[in-house]
Amino acid sequence: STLLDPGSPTEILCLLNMVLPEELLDNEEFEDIRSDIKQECAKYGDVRSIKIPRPVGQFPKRGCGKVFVQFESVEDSQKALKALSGRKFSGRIVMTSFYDPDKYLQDDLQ
Amino acid sequence: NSADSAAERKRKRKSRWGGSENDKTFIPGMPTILPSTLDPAQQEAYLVQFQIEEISRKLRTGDLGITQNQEERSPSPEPIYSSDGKRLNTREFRYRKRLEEQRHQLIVKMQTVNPEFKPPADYKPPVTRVS
Repeated sequence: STLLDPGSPTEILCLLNMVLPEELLDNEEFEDIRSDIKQECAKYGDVRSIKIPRPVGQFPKRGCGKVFVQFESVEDSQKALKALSGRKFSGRIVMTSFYDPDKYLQDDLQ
Repeated sequence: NSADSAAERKRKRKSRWGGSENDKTFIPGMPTILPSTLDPAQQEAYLVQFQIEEISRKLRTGDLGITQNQEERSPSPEPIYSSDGKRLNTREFRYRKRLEEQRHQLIVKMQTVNPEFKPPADYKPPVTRVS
């Protein structure tokens, strides 16, 4: 019951339930979170880029609370999706999903 | 200088990741891999439901996520005592209260999307005092 058909895999991994918008306000904390995520994802393949939408002032931006990771290959992204799903981050259970690469490149993060 | 303090911070700091590939946390009946076919509203509703269940489990098991590393904790507030001298705002009490509040917000959110939503059995809405 922990596995559902994730749909067609893409090279963009979306991580959910990891960060709260208020944890992204402080620059130092934001950089710590970013490097924690990058380090762990790098175990599964080459990470090309990471996007973590941050709140603008008191307003949460679209996609805020999610983390998007672009891998070099679909295979690496697939490995990371399986390996990171169900792990804990800041005490919360990580959920994973694939994301549309075109939307990622256009900064359409939701 | 700032490079030194950044390096020192990195050394002191523990990664936010917990567990390992072989040590995961699962909630029965609630998959953690989401199909990409969910639309944003469906995904949001599932996420909120998952978070309610996640917090309920923390409250039930007493695994409140209190960090053992003293340096990572924020300064404790001034103690408040009851009339018989027992401390009221203990760390455990504060963590529990914060989780209860988070869960309440999530349940309110869930009930606005789905009026049929049944909150967990141990949930009591907070008492609003008129004073």
